[in-house]
Amino acid sequence: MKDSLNIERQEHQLDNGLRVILYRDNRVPLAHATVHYRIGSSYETRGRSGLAHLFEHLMFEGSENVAKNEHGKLLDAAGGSWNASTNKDRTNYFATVPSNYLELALWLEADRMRSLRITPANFENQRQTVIEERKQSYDNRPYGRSHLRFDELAYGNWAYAHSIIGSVEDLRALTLDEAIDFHRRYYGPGNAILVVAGDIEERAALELIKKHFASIEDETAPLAPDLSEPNQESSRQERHTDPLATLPAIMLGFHMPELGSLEYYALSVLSLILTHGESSRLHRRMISDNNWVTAIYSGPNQYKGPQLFAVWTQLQEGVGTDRILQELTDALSASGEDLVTDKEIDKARNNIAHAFIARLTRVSQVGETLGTYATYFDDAGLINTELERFYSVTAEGVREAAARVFRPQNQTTIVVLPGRDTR
Amino acid sequence: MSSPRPLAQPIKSVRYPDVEEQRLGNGMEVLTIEDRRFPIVSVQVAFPVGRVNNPEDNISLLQLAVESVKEGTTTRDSREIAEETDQWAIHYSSEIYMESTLHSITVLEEHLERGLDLLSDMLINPTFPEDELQKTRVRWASIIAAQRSQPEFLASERMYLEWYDGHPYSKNNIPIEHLQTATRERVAEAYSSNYGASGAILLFAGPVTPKRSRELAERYFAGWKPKRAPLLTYPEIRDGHRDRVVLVDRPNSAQSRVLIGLRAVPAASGDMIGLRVTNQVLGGSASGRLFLKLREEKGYTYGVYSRIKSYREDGLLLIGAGVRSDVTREAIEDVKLEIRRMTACPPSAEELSRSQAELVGGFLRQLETPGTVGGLELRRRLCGLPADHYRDLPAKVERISPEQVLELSRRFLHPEEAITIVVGDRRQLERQLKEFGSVEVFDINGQKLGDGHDG
Repeated sequence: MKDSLNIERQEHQLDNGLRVILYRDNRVPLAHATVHYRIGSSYETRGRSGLAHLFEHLMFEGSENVAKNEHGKLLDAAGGSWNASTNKDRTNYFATVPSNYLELALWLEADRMRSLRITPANFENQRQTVIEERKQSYDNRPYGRSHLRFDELAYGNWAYAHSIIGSVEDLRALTLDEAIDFHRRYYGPGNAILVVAGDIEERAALELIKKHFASIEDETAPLAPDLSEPNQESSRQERHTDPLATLPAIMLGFHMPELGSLEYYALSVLSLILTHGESSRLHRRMISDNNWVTAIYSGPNQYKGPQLFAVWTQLQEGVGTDRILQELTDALSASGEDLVTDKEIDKARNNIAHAFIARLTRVSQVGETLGTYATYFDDAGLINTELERFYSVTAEGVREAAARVFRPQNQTTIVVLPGRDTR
Repeated sequence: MSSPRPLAQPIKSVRYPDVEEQRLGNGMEVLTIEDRRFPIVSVQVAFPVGRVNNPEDNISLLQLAVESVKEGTTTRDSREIAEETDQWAIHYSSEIYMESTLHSITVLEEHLERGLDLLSDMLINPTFPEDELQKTRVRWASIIAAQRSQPEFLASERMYLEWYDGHPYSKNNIPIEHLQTATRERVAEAYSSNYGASGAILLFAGPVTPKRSRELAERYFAGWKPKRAPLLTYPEIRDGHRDRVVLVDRPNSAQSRVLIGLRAVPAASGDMIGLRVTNQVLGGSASGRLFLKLREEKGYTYGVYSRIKSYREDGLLLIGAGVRSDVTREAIEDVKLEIRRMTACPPSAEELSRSQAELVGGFLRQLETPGTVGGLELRRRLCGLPADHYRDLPAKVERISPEQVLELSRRFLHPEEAITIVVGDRRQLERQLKEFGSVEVFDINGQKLGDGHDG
């Protein structure tokens, strides 16, 4: 397997600050257009949790030339697929369309970047929809509330501690004026990256982009959050009971450095060694050999700033949570003491390479990957070189990172038991 | 300054990939979709054998058998299989559906032969060791326990039990007690009597020429016995149902899960494409009538969609939504109103062309990777669809007229013959639902409950 890839792309910047990345792949007449804005829930202020995500909904409620729901209808009528997502660090809006409709997708994005039109009624409608979404996604799902609680318990800095979906109380307090101000502050060309990938001709695509975006004035004034995380000095633990759960579960987290750090690459490799595939250390011990748990996952939580190395496992009925907790912490501390084998490193490399190549077979995924690298690292070229960073991880590097991160005083634990809710 | 809404350019012609067909001496069909863009290969092996092929007294046997091929062969134990799979990043998966089974790997081109060596060994020489089988039984008991906490699962299970009562299609979910009586001998026997080379389809998608596919297929699969599953004959499927409501009591639910079933058509029916367009107008997307009415106008739900599930001999049109408990009755009435509206007049030109574009666009996205084209080709063969089915699909979809949608709606969308399943808290729902007439009530374990309000 080659150590690096060659995804050829073009990068431009319009006078209003809009960053543009173009990637051409004419195999199938599909084009993917995605706008990444540097705004996520970590940019919110106390008492206003949930604004970034609610705002994502509002972006489909109409703009100067597009009525409520029309954004989706027009893309559906073009045979496109479309959506948006908000995470802690960014919000993205994307559509994959038959390439003869690329201009429609660009026009729609430009219209709502330039001129959002939200009525009070539509604002209320989406506030209610998001409250229902919170119920459906968390309040009515096994472990849902414990998942929301986890970051609150682990992070000392409110920026990452509070949830993306927001508290119902905060959602009820948000006003239309705040949303309008939010648009002006964050939703302009100077705070955005536009990627167009797929069946395009670069020069023509750039002309279309200029036609629709160049006249948008940049009035953004983003307030970047302070993500610095206070040092954790002692372990934190909670036990929850969950009436919707049928089996116990354990969530663990350890503070670790940001995305793109040496520790990030080393511990990503370690997570594969621990829990990826049936021959991984924890899968073998906890599932194949002893059938103690039904499933187990681990890895950095992929936040741009200070991350957590997270472990999630669901236990078989009748298996004690204390025992499994001990097994997990033993396995993590062992990786800070003994070197992983060359064979394990090699296995992790093969799986990382596989995942990288598989991602490149769809223009939508190439487009999103370019957008993410540009938004987080200001370097879309990582698409070709990040593999090398994973490949350069050594057994010694894994041990050092594990020893620094997997310490008892750096640990957050939530144990969830089925049963009547007592919180 | 903004510019006016742009017009679409003419669509470029879509070229459906070539599929090379070959056959081995033992009857195995070999398909190749050559695509040299990426050094990754998808290999899929499909069988016309599914859950319906289980014996009546135990519907866990083939599930356990299919899942257990990776737990030991005549030359590898489960640890060695896991080790090889992970070492060479051979992404392996298996799935048993109603009437088919699929084993697949994706693997980097340089490890293709290792992947095939392993895949063929698992399929041809599985040994079903008892200790591994016991772990799989325990794992499935947990899966079943977890499934019973999911409202979507409970609704679907009850729908198939009610709609296909007495037919193999009703046996969609494994009762926990079947796991205990699934002995090693029965699992092994179920596997060997149902799976073999005849009727199997081996598909290569990626940087592999037909010549190389042939060589690899010969090397790894020519030695497999030409066995095929015994032919199944199904009992008659009941023609219609009276409109009725069945409640599955799930105490403390925060909302109701509603699932409404209507008769559709078998997978190979000539009406299928028209019915898919019809379904799209009704509720196939966030621009469908159901979504616009129940979410955007009424605010009853976060989402409501309709879809068609089709099998060799029958099909169902299913409408599903999670709705606010206090307006469950109103939501069901609105769904039925929208169904009736489909039978009153043809869709508008805008609705029809959008529905057609949604289906064509979805198809186009499936052509993006050789692996997903492979999935289409396997489905076409397993369902008995005509050879040109996918090649001409966009044109066929675009030929459906508003009058055809009206005619199909009148022929299939009969709310008076629907079955409505509601999963939720009986205390909040029973009184509302009784306005539709008598309501049968089950608990989450499938036990029928008597009258009363205590649940």
